[in-house]
Amino acid sequence: MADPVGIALAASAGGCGAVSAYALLAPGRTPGVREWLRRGRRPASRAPGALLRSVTGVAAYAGLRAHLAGSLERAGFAEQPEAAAGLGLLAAMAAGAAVAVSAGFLIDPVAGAVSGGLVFAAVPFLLLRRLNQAAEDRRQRLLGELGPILELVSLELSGGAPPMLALESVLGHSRSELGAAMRAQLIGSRVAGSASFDGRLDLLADRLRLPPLRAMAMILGLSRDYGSGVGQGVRALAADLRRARRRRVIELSRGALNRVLIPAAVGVLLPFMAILLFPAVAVLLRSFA
Amino acid sequence: MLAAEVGAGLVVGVAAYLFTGMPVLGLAAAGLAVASLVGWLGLRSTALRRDRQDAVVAAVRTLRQLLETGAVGVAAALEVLAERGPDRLRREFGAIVAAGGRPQAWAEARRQVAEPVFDLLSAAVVVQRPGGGELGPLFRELEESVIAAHEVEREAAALQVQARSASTLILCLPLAFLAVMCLLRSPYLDVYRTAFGQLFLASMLAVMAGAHVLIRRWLRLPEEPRVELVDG
Repeated sequence: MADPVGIALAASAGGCGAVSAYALLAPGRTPGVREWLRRGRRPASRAPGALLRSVTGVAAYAGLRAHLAGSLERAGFAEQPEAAAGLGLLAAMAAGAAVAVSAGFLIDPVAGAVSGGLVFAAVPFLLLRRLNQAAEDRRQRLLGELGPILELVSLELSGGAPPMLALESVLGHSRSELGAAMRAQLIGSRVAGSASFDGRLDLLADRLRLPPLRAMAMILGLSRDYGSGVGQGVRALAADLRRARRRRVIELSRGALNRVLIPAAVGVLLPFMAILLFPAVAVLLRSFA
Repeated sequence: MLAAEVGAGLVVGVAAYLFTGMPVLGLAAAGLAVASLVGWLGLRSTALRRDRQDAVVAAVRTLRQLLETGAVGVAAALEVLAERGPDRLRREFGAIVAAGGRPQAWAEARRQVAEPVFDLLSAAVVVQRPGGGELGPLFRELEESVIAAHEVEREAAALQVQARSASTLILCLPLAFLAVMCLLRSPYLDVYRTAFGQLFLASMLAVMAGAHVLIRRWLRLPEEPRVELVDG
């Protein structure tokens, strides 16, 4: 038998939720000419969705949005920042609710609320960390792809090809992600009135946070403006990239032992001790009981 | 290979269960047998890969030396490699020479060799052909930097063997301890014959196996990316 008070409470809660969602999310209505004339000099009433728009209008929001959009682009995701943030928030709420309900049933409601809150706070942090890690992985992969492109360009240049032709020839053979991005910039720079290739490459390097790509853009720019040589610079850049990769491997291998120390102690040694001591502890507990 | 892994796991698992009388230890022993087989295959594959890497570096060196003499062109140098080059790559170079150095033949060789340095060698030859260009200096730099990189990678891998072995040893210690106690028919293990004891043992072994897998993953060094080229 359904409780009428409960039904009324549930219905009113649902109604309040729906109205709040409408106020927050409904798109703004563009006023027609007739409405505008009728309103005269009086200020317009607050349209549904104005609250959300007032939040998105704040300067800090624009900064945060740009930051998240940059991170998403560097990680190779094409999602809108709002959609990604919304999904992250949903995931955090779902995880927090699941933990809160489980802990509430198993321990007590206070523990449920605390653990749910902690999980709700931790999930966005973990998601952001994962996003940054994905961006760094992609950056390293693109850096790895840049080295061979530079080496092949220097080979073409040594054959006497002009810099842009050498680059075009190498990018025509490359199927890598960075090759495709650079090819798009090359094609874009051919459109009348658009920025030069080195300028576009500089912007791409800035977006992807690839300093060697920016150095290449600088070499191309200097060659165009002052007629300086490209071959030597490109070859040196390729050698630098190989040396940087070698340094990274050395750094990772030296730090590896320290990185696995705590997981080894907690995940391997501790359970080992537990397996050894469990029978003794069980006997002791039985005798005390 | 999957059948061999499953078979080894089943045999060792059943034997361990019959020996100890504990299902959890049977499962753990089966897992250990499969992991040992996979590890052995991994070691063999690493050794083969290193042989292949050395062969590619030797091919780059030979090609560079031949081109620097100025007496032969790229096509003739490839023929020399097909006849007298590194054993592991003669077949691939032979196929390239037989196909007249067509890009498709290089693409097939790249698929078979699957080494970033060979990708770059192939890209250099394919890119160089229409416009010309000095392959000698490029191959010299490539050879020097690749030898240095391989040296660092192998040194790093040797250093990490220590951490991997320590983790594997600690992982095997409780199993060895339990096996010895079972052999001695020790009453110390009676608590592990109850349902709660089995659950506790299973969870602890699962934590250890998970940590071991994570440690091996964290110790993995970044690999050099392949050079992706348009086939044909």
